[in-house]
Amino acid sequence: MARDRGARLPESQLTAFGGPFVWLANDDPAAAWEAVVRVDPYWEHVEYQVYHYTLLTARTQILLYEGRAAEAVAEMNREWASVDRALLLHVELVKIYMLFLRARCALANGGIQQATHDCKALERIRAPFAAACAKQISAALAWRAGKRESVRGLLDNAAQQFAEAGFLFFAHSAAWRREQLFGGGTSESEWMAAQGVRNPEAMAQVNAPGFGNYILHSLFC
Amino acid sequence: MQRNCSDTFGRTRQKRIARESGGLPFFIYELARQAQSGLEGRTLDLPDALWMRTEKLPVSSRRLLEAIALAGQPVALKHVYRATEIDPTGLPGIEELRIGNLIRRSCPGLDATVESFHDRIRETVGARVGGEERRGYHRALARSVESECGDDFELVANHYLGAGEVDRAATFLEKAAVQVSAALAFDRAARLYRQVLELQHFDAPDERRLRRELAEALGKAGRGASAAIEYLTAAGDRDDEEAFRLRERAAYPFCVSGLIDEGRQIFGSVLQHLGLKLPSSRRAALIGLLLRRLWLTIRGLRFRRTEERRVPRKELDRIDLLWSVTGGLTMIDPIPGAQCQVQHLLLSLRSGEPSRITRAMAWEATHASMLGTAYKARVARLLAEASALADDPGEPYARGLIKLSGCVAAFFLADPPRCRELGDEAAAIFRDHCAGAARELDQCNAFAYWACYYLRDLPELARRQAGFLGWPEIEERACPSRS
Repeated sequence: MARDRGARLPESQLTAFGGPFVWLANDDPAAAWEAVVRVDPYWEHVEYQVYHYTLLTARTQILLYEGRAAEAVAEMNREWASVDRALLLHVELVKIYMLFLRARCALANGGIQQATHDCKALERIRAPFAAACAKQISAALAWRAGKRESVRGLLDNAAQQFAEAGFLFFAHSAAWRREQLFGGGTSESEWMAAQGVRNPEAMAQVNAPGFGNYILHSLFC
Repeated sequence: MQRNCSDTFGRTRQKRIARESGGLPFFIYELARQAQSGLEGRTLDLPDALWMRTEKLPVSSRRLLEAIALAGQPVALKHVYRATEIDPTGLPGIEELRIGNLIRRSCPGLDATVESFHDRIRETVGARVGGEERRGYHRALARSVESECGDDFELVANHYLGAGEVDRAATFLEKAAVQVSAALAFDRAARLYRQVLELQHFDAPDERRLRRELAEALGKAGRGASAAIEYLTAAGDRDDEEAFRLRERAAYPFCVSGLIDEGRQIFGSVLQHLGLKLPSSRRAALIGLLLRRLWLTIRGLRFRRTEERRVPRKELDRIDLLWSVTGGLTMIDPIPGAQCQVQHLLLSLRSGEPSRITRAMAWEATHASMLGTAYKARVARLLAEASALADDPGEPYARGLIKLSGCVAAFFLADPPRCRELGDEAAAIFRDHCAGAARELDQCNAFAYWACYYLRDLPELARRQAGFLGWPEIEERACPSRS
């Protein structure tokens, strides 16, 4: 076991990045916090680097799951400059992931301006994953702007591009959101259940936020 | 028997017999005999009861029982006879012990192994053999086992320890450590080396050697921080070549154990020893990286193949040290890590030594992949060239490293399915063919795990997390689909 042998780096690697979703799938954010809190102290007294960034992604996504979007935005704003100073945004995948995460936090908190800014930044990156992220953010922005007719196509595009790039995690979240907004079957809900996701709506608040009033929409439109 | 007990003793005694005996009929019987023996006023006690029984044995049987108890584990009957100096003809005394439920025997004859029937018998009898008699049994058992089957070094060492012959015990413990290390039982090897070091005071060169071996075993068992501390202890305050190498080996484990400042500090001092240095800041690292990448683009990946023995030792040391620094920093601080990596590649190409060029090219691919999908072709070329160079089936480490590099590159090029596939393949190579490649295995596991997250394979994510982290109290609350 990693902890027994004092391997803090691999222990943090498996806890902070991706790790929280194991507990979130079980609708247990408290356990996800518990895991993060265990590895957090390892990196308290060292210069900001990769593991601070992965812990930031863990904390913000747990906060999004819990519906605490304002706190997620605050975390993101507080540490963004540190991520930048650590030159981590020179790593393309980190840059895409962080822009996408900041845009998701902003959308969950109603921050249209920040989400628009990050969406444009994502569009400028020539990578299929970035294009898929931008499509999903665009879909949420279109929803907020009342352009409902374009949302379906954007979500479909996002899901397809995520799937083509191999990011099924986000592909299914986008497809689930589309299914909730516009109907057309229950395959994504069934897929979520098969993955052991107990609270698909909360999970979608992490991966595809920004469609807050869709339940009202489905009732009245 | 219970009714008999009730008739004979009071209820309190009956309860005490039941508790003391643990429900074992043989112990109930012995305790009942003790109670009946008229020692009124004495507390019923199993060790006393067993010892009463032992004292009633004929001298030869009692001596055999004592030797068997002190052996501490199943032991060949011939060693027991030698230790007691009893003539084994006709196997005197053994049958009485067996029928009396004091020992077990694997089969008839002198080649059988024997052991105490129960741990309480072994403990009781063993504890009551004292002083010189005890040391004598251990000495005789050690010599007998040593002369007969010389490969159970730990057993021999333990008997020499019991005999008070510390020097010989240390010699055999070290042999045992080497033996189990060769069998890839690194945790056990580390325990044995520690035991050797705690046994006696060694002169400085021997202590250094033993600490280095201990550190090697700890490192191979994946216990990086403990290994690093042992390397540093072995290096001490000295400033010679050996101390430099020991410090060099300490730095990487510190980094992966989260003691990054300590790791960096040591890397800084050993780099200085070889006329190199860590970048003073991240900006400096970025500038250094850009300049060296520019030079790499101009000079290309050409090299003149040179055998290792023809490359100056200092040049090889510099390359190996930069590899160590790169490995230590890449996953923590990518830009300084990349700067050291490109320097590592340039020096490797200049040396012309193929195995080091393979390693450097493969790892350069991971750094190129961090720059993004625009560098996909360059990554593919680096990996292809590294594979062509490493086309030696007898070199699993190179194959594993190329697959690991491919896995990391696939991750940064946003190709999770390929990342998982290569990560698992690399892990299998390191696990099955490369003894002690704990750090590489950790990286394979981490990247393949992240790929599972991107691939939305939550049950698999949970399975891998459980296997690696081992946090039962949190795990049992995690994803229900794990089961």
